[in-house]
Amino acid sequence: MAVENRDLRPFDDLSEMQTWLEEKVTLHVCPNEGAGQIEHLVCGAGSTLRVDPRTLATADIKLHIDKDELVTVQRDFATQFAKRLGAKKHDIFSIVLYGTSSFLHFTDEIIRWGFEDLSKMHGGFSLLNPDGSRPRSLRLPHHGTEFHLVVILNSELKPQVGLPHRLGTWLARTTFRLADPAEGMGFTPRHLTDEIRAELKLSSQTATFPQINTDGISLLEADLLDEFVLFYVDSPTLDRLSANPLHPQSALYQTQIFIDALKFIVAEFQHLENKNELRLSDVDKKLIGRLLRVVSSDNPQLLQSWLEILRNQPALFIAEIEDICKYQTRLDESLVLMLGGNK
Amino acid sequence: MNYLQLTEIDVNEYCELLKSNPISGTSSAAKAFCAKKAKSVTAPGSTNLHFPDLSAVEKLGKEIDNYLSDPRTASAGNQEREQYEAELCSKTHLALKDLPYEVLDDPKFWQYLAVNYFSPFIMWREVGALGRGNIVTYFKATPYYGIPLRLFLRGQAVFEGTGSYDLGAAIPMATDFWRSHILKVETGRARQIGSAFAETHRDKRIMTKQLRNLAKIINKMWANVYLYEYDSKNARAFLKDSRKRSESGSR
Repeated sequence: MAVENRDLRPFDDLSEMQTWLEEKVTLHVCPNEGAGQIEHLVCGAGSTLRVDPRTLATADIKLHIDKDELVTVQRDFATQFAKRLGAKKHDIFSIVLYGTSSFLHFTDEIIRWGFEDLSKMHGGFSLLNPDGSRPRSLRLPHHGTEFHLVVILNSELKPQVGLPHRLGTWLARTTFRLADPAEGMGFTPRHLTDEIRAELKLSSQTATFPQINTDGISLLEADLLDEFVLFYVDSPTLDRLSANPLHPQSALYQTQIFIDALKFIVAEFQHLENKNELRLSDVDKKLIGRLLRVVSSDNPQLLQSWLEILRNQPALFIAEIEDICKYQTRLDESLVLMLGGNK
Repeated sequence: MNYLQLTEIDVNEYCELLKSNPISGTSSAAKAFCAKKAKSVTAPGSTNLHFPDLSAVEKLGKEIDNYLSDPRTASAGNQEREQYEAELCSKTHLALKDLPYEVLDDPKFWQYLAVNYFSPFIMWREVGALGRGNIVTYFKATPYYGIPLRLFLRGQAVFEGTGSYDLGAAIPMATDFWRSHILKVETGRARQIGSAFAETHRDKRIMTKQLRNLAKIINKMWANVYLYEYDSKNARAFLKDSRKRSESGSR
């Protein structure tokens, strides 16, 4: 469905193309490691897909359209619009995909097509380099990447009232964002050493332990997960996980640790005496707000309803965390490796 | 690829030590802290377990130590401190630019670099913050304040815009210009526009009010135009026109 809050433009643009981009184009994340082929994860236009750092750094990423018959229609629209701008055909427009890192502050052009090339997206067009290597926009496992797919004017035209003329003017655009589920949560599992076991009176068979941070920052005051809870994981286990991050069982257990830490936050939230009085503005900029953004896929319109779910249906909230973390996929990868068979 | 990192908790702890005992910020004390606290991790998706070659940044750390050990440097004014930071931008980018992006994307790696190699510089450069008790801002990997990330990003913006580092230190007293008008905004990612902006400021220094007007004109342009499309010639023409408009007061 088309987005309602469209940008107000001071000139005409390719509104049909805008609708087409929003409805027909998706970004596919195709994990290609681990046990067998895993199904594609799909990021819709204007949304955020959260995938674990290993997948962010290793999966093939493809721009995709389901059917290509409408490509011809878009080409015709572009030609008609080009004629209004005084050009003969649609080659005054380029379709450009930019990849942006907000942390490392760069924006790179990943692909540049003319309307003739649009059908390349049919069946999925890989964003990897032709030699299979990854452009730097696809090597950002911690902060992820924001992609802008834009139809732009590729040359300066003679100004006309109500029509675009500047080089680089966008005529239709959409974004896709790939992010780590833990992005911005500030989560670092701590080593559960023998000394800490003794100090916390934990048995040798305890593998994980969430300890509320003794610095005294409350759940509602904390900005980051680490500020509220120190999540301990058996030290040799953590070393093994760090040494073998690609192994499906390692990936599964890392996901499990992250989910457990978030479950702990959800449980602690239920103990707050004022949980029913809390407004979104009370928690928005804090750890709880970050958690709401994770489960709402960064959709600000859903934050309030997820706050209600966190309050009243914690099991449903946790179920969504599992979904966001692709827990079932990790479980399948691990079980197929251990027990054989297909997913 | 394996590499070392320091968590936010580690950095907070280190900065508490600095507050109570500034001698903890010497190179040797900082390295001892890192030896105790830094954790080795493998970059996500990597099968190569080698550590990156940090000899260039190690060498840079020693160069900074030598510079700061000069008694004249201790009493340097803000202008000298800004100029030395400007010179370090290119050196920091050059020392780190070939590391894998999977590592550079990790804020905890930058926190390790900040403590292990840049502690004396941070304490000297941000001596005011040390006095106010918020030095931690400059050790954490915040892109516009944290050192060395802000040094790297400025060096990167200059190098990728012009192919050389000459512009990085060419504008005196320009830390705020780079931070507010290049790195904090979209403009810095459109390398040719960022470079043309810096060039015009270098060639004829723009006073603060006018600089803000010019920045507003450029920032407003992003609403409708992807300025990444501009090559150096177009970018210079755009800046010339925008500067004229800012000077005449029109937007």
